[in-house]
Amino acid sequence: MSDYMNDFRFFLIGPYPNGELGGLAISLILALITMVSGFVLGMILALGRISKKTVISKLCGFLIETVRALPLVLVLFWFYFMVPLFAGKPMPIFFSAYLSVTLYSAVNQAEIFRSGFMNINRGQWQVAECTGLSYFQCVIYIIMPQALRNMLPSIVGFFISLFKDTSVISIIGVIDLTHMGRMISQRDPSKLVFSYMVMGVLYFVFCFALSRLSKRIEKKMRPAS
Amino acid sequence: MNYDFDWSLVLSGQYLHWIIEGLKYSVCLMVLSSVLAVVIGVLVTFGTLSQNRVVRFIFESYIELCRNIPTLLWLLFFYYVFPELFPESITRELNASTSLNFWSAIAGLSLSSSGYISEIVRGGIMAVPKEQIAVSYSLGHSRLQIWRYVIWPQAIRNCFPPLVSRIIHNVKNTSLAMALSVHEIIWATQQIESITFRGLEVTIISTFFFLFINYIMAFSARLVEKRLMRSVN
Repeated sequence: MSDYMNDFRFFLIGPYPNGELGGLAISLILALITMVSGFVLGMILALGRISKKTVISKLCGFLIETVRALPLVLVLFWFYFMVPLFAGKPMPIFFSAYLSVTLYSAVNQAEIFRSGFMNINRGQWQVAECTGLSYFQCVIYIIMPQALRNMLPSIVGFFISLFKDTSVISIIGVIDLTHMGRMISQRDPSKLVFSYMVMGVLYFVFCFALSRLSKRIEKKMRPAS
Repeated sequence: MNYDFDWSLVLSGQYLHWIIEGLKYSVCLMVLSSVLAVVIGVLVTFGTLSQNRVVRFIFESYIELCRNIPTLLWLLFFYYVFPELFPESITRELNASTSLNFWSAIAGLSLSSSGYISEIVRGGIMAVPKEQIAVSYSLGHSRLQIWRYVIWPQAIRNCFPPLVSRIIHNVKNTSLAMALSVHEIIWATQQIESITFRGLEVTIISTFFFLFINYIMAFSARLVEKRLMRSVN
């Protein structure tokens, strides 16, 4: 029994005190930090895409469309090969994973941002400009608060899918929950069903709770809009 | 950054053969899993529309299960765990089969997409106004006729755009089959990389493949959508 408890700890935090952090913790951390950095980068990309300068909008549009057409695995491999080339020395895999998932999350959030911005009346931009606000003041004080309200359900929805997609980083060898489960099931074949059950339940609990949360937010938002 | 591209090595002999094989497997995976996902998704939708509460609960929990577990985990499940659930003789038979990885990939991909697709289809069906169904009943149409001529055409139109984006997502997800060493394009190119160390070249090849597929799908979806919308006016 304590053997199983020990394995369960591996699922949650990996070999942490005696080794690097892994398991569910690394999946959650990666999903959270890439969500935040993807949010910022996605906002910049979306603003660039609706920019009046054709060069910027074409460039951002091209980047968004291209990366959105690629599976996350491929983006992962791009960074897996490019990061050491640019850095000139081997880098931790987690760093490549972080960069690639950030890019992936940025382009997807840029699409969410764009639809959020589209729903805002053009007059809002013009009025803000007339009252003498600078571009960034206009974005931060006028546009973002309105856009964010409409975007919140899709943002939470995207976070769920991002959390699930982080399981892909196990392919390049980051010890996340999926990788941990595979390792445990390979070390002891009698625990095969057990380890897949634990993985499934852990993913399910998190995603299910989040999707219920997003449904509740959606319900709360509806009468207001 | 200094990197010398060497295409001649990657695009010759055995490696070219691997790449072509990989393209074939990728296209097979994409088509088969998408078609299966749509079929299962539509069938499950009918289950969730059932009047019986137990049946509805079963199908709704199926959808939640598909949606809330990562696709990669489904693939691994079908490859490693699924054969173990049978009696020993069948397990041995399954594990000895060389195409187990391909079929587990198909099963995992279509299972995980079918949950999303049935949600989309259900949304499309629910968006058909209830009055129309009531009116059709009062005009003396049968259930089948109502499905065929009233609900279905509108439901397809309602759910077409999200359905396409989900299928494109599924097509991108086929790359996960590389975790089961199915010989699809990304696995093939990474295999070449591990022998020749030409990482960037092979990644560029698979990137162009996915861009191409995506372009074709977006283009044909636009054509079909135009046709669908034309039949309204």
